[in-house]
Amino acid sequence: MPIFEVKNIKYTYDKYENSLKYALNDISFNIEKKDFVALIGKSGSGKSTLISHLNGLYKADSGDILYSGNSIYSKDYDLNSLRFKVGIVFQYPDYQLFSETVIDDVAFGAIKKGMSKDEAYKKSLEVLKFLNIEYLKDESPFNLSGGEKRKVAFAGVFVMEPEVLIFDEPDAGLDTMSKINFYNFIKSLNNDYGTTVIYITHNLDDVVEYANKVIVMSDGKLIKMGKPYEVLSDEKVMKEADLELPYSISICNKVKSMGYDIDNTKLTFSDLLDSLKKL
Amino acid sequence: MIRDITLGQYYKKDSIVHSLDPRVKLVATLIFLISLFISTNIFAYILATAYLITAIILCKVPFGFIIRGLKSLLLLLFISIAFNLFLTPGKVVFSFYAINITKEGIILALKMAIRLVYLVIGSSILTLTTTPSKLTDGLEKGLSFLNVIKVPVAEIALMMSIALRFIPTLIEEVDKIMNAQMSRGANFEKGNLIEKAKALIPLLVPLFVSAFKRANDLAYAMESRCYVGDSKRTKLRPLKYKRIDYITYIYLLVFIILIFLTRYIKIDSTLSIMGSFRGALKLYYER
Repeated sequence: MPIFEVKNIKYTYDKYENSLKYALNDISFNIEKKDFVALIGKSGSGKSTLISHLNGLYKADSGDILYSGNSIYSKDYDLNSLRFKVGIVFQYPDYQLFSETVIDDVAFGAIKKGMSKDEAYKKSLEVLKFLNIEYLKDESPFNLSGGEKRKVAFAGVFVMEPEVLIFDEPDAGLDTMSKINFYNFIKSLNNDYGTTVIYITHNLDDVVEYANKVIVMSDGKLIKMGKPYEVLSDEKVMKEADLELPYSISICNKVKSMGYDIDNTKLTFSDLLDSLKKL
Repeated sequence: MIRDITLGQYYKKDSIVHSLDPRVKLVATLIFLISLFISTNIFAYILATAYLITAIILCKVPFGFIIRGLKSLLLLLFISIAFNLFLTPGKVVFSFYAINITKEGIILALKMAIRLVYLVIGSSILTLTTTPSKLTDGLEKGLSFLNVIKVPVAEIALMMSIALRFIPTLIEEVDKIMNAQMSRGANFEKGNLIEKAKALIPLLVPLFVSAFKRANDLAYAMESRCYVGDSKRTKLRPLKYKRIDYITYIYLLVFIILIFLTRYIKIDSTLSIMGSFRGALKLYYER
C-alpha cells in the first residue's frame, strides 16, 4: 500500500476572486514507503504549497489525501498525530528556532509528541549526537551559523522520529561539502531505517545522484512523475517546466550527437564515467 | 486564519476609488469618521450607510474580503455592546435579577456597534485601495503646512510608510512560523487562556528576532543609498489633482452638509409629517 495517495487535489490562495488561479490544479500521485522523491519545478510552480498539504497544514479545496490508507480529511482523523509521522523541515530555520538553548529547542517537538521531559531531553541528546552537533547543545540557537541553524532545525523535526521526512530546498545556501554530507546522511536514513524522503530542489545534478523518483511541477500542475532518467531525459517535459537538463544528460546528448553510441540510461557521475570509458 | 487580517493590506484592482488622489481618500475617510460621530439620528446613519455602500461598490474589492477584517473585531464589538446594553440608565424595558436593560441602552449599544463596524470598514477601504507609498505621499503633502511649526512631516510619513509596508510581510511571516511550529506539534488553538499564551512563545520569539533583523537590514540598505532624513526631496510622481478628484471633493462637501442638516431634523416633526401624509391618504381613499 502506498504511504501517500494524493487524489485530485486543488488549492487556491485567493478564494475571493472569481477568476480562480490554482496554486495546485488537480494533482494526483502515489508515494511508496522507502521512496526518495525529488520535487522539481520553477519557483512559484506550487511545490511548497504541495508539501504543506502532506501534513495537513493546508487543506485542499477539493480532492483527498490518504496517509497509509486513511483519509487525512476525514472528521475523526488526528492531524496533530499526522504531523509527528510526517516531518517537514522548512527552508528557513529562523522561523522555528525560539528557545534559549539548542537542546531546549530540539526537545520541543519531542515534548509535544507526549514524551516526559527526561525522555525528551535524553532523546534530543541522542539526536544531536547522531547528527554530530552535540557540542552545540548549550549554545543559543540565535548565535549559530546558517549551516548549524539548519542542522538544529532538522534535529528539531528528526527528534519526533517521523516516518516521512519532507525538506523544502535543503541544499539552498549550503557549501558543497555540507551538501554532500547532508544528502549522504539522508540517503543512509532512507536505506537503513526505511524513512520515506520527499524533497524540493533546484539542483538537478543531485536529483540524478540520490532520488529514485522525480515529480515535475509547472504552474500548479503535475506534468510528469517517474524514474529520474525517464523524467529528466524527456526534453518535452523539461521544456514545458522550463528546466535545464542535468549535466550528465547534456553530456550524453553531446556525445551521442558526435556519433558515438553511449548508454545513457544511467545518469550518476560515476555511471557516466563508466560508460565514457567503455567507448 | 492569520490572513484574515485585512487592515492595512492593499487589494489590487482597477477602479475609480483606486485611481483617486490619496489626499482625497484621506479627507473622505476623515469626513466619514467625523460624520459617524456627529450622527445623532437615523437619517444621518442612513446617509452614512449610503456613502459607505457607494464606496464599497465603486472600489470593486469583493465584499467578503472587506468584511474579513471585522472578524478580529468581534470580541471588542461584543464588549462594547454588552457595556452599553447593561450599564446605561434610563427607561427599563426588560429586567431579570439585577440586570436592567433600558431603551436608551439598546439604542446606544446599536449606535456603538454600527459606528465601530463602519469605522473599520471605512478605514479598510482606504488601505485596501491605496498603496502604503501613495498613502504616505498623500499624508506628507496634505500635512506639509505643519512644516511651518517645525513638525517633521517627512520623517513621520516615512516611519508610517515603513510600518504600513511591513504589516503584510509580518503577517506572512507569522503564517510561515506557525506552519513551522505546527509541523513540530505546536497547537495554537487548544487549551485554556494560560496555555494559549504559553503556546505563543514559539511564535513570538522568531517573529521578533526576524523583525529586528529586518529593521537592521533596512537601515543598512537605506544608508548605503545615502538616505538623509531632513533633505528636501522631490518626487518621481508628484501628486496632482485630476477632474475626478474635484468631483469627489464636491460630493464630499454635499455629504458633510447633508450630515449637518440631519442634526436639525426632529424625529417628532418627521413623524408628524408622516402622520399628516397618512391623514391625507386616508382622506383621499375615503372620498
